[in-house]
Amino acid sequence: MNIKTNDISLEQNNESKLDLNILGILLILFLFAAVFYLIEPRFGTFSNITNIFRQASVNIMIACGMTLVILTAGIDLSVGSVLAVSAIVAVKISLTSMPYLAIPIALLVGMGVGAINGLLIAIFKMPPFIATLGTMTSFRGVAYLVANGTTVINNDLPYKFIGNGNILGIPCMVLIAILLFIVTWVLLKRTVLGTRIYAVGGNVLAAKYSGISVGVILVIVYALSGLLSGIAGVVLSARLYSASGLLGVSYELDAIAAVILGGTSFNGGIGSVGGTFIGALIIAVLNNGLTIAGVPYFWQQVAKGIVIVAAVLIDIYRQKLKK
Amino acid sequence: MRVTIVKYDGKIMSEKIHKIEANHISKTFPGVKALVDVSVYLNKGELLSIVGENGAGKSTLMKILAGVYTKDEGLGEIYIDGNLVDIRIPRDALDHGISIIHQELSVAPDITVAENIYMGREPLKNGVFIDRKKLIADTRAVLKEIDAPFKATDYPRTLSIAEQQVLEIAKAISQKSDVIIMDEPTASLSETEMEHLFALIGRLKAKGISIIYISHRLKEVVELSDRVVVLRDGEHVATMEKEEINEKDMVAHMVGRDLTEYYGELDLKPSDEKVLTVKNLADGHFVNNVSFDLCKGEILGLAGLVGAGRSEIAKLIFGVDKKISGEVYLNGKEIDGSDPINSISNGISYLTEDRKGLGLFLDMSSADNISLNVLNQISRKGFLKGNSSRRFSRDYIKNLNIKVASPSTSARSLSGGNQQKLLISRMISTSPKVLILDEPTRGVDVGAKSEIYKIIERLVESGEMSVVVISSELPEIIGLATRVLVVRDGTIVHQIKDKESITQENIMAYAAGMKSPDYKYEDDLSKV
Repeated sequence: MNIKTNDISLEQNNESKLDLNILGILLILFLFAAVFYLIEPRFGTFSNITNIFRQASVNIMIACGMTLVILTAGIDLSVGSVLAVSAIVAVKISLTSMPYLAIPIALLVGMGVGAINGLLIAIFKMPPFIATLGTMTSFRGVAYLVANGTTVINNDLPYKFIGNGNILGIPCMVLIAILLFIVTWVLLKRTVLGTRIYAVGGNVLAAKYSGISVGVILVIVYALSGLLSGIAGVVLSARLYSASGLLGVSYELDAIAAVILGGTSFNGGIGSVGGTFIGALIIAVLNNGLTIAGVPYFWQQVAKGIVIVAAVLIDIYRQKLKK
Repeated sequence: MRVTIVKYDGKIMSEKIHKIEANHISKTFPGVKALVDVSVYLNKGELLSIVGENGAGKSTLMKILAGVYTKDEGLGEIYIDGNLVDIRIPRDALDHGISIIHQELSVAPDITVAENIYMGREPLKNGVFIDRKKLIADTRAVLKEIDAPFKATDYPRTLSIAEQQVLEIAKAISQKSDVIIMDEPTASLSETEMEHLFALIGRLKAKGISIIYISHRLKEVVELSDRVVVLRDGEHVATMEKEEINEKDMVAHMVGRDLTEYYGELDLKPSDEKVLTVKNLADGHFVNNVSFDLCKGEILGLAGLVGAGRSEIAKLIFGVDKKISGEVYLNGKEIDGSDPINSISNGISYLTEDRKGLGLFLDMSSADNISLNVLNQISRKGFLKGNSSRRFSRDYIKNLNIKVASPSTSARSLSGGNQQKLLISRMISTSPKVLILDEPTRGVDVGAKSEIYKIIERLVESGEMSVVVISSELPEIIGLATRVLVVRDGTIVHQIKDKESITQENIMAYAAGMKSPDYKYEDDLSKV
């Protein structure tokens, strides 16, 4: 069916179509919020809403990186382990005579570990699932080793502000999450690198034929995922004044769930970090709302799983309707 | 029962029941009328061709007959052997003896031919286990019936595309189908393979099997058809009976006007200034000893059969495949062509023959598809404005007459011709000195084809680019090229220098190996 119109409206918004997708998931978010509010009015207080954002913030940071990775049709299972290593490194260095190196080194470690993932995938052509499954396991071990199997504590953490401070009444960690979300959005929508990430995920062979260094893009993407997990680790350690080898276990699952809820395709090339942001909020609303409503923990798990499957089912059905 | 009464001069000559008859079929998609009141019929043992430009509704009609789509409710009816039938799902079509062989074959490569043919309906022993003996015996019988060139126990991975197609036909026969729909069956076949397919079609017809045939290649449509139905924009514009079928009228019906300038008549005057020189190119297993020059303002045709090595040569020059020996010179200077990144920045563009697989980003916007190779140029320190790529693509959309609702429309939703123009835009966006076009009009309708020819000629005429055209359609090479190199078995076997000698006969004689190779590269690089 030829499209007969040939008017080229330059100003038409490029993201208008994506906005529709995000609108759908935003609706789900408000629906859940409304239901919880009706069940338990305490859900809607300012302090609880702040709480929800605080609970979502670490997941938002990790899920921003996960969005980049999944857009290239990859997956990063190692984010939780990277978070633990970075957190432990940060707390340990804060106890030395050079505490100001804590954050820079922790972030470098996160980024370096991510780059290792990228190199395994780009150079040795390993499937991302396998490569990051391996590093997930190894770095979990490294985390225990660095922490000597115990919890590293610093009651006088120099960067505790990051995890516990407020700016204009908004928790610092929430602001960091929002800032990272904006940076990721700009990266994807307003930079050459972002367009190339979509290109690599959309059609890796065509990307190669277009003179894109696919390997370089992949290394950058996994390094960024590692860096974002590292930041999440620093923030979490600041919140807790401590870190241990158990930190961040299974965080990758919440991050992946947020990305998928946000409408990013597992096949790569389609999706947006805006959706991920709302996806992470939905997960946090569920966690918070189910607890406030007094649902037992095991049932919370059951409900969360059902919501994720249902949301994706709705999405699949909607895609079919569009065709 | 439905009986068609054939009248001649007002007298009833015979009463005939058509094998299949579809009357007044319409199909509406949201916002689009894909088919409007189309009627076709077909007798036992006949071949009916459906032709039309891309988007004319050919595939939609076929998919309705095969049960992939359902026709609009309440409009039209389908009769098989005179009985009214209701086809809603593919299973219904199969039950009524209708099989479809899609353009993209769906053969499972790593299970045997027999298992492929009887997939999902394997003969069973004791109701549970697969009866291997019967499976193989049944398959052998079917393969023998159509003289298939492979065995029941072969694995499709080892078969050529043409053989896999025969496998699909065998599957249709095994299902007792007596109407077989073939969608672009020759799209990726070589000349010899096509001959084999046509012979097989002849045998099928002799068995009383009716065939519905879709193809862009009008020459073979003329050769094979007992009847041709022409669709345009979803409407049934003409039915031509055997004696009235000819290429010129078909084209006229398809485009709705006389295409006098199917191939542009242009008098290009190439200079003898060399733009590209390729010397002793080889990839170590197939391509060997390839040397040639491309002069400024030239359209050099690389002719040859499918599989002769033309695309392979292009990919070595472009650097997506690794060469083991040979040099590439651009304007007399040797370039490092080991990577597409270098080639593009040196000024070589390569339009792939595999539009969807290697070219397009289907889910990205048309604008992004056009501007992808110049992102660095239109960005500021890596940052793009929200509309930079739309702004950049606007000129290309206008100049190449790309029909899109807006630059933000995804490439997926465009027709084949417009998708091809997107890719051509991307290829010329970097202002290359050398443009290699691999099957520039494959799967593109007649109207867009002639537009693409004009674009190519305009580019060359303006003196900006020199072009290498690879094509399996000889008329395309003959119409476009100012000089032709014939490729066979991974090397150049013949050169045709003057335009008058570029004929189908001259090319085929060397392409098919009737005449032995006589190409000699004259190394006069020093003259540059």
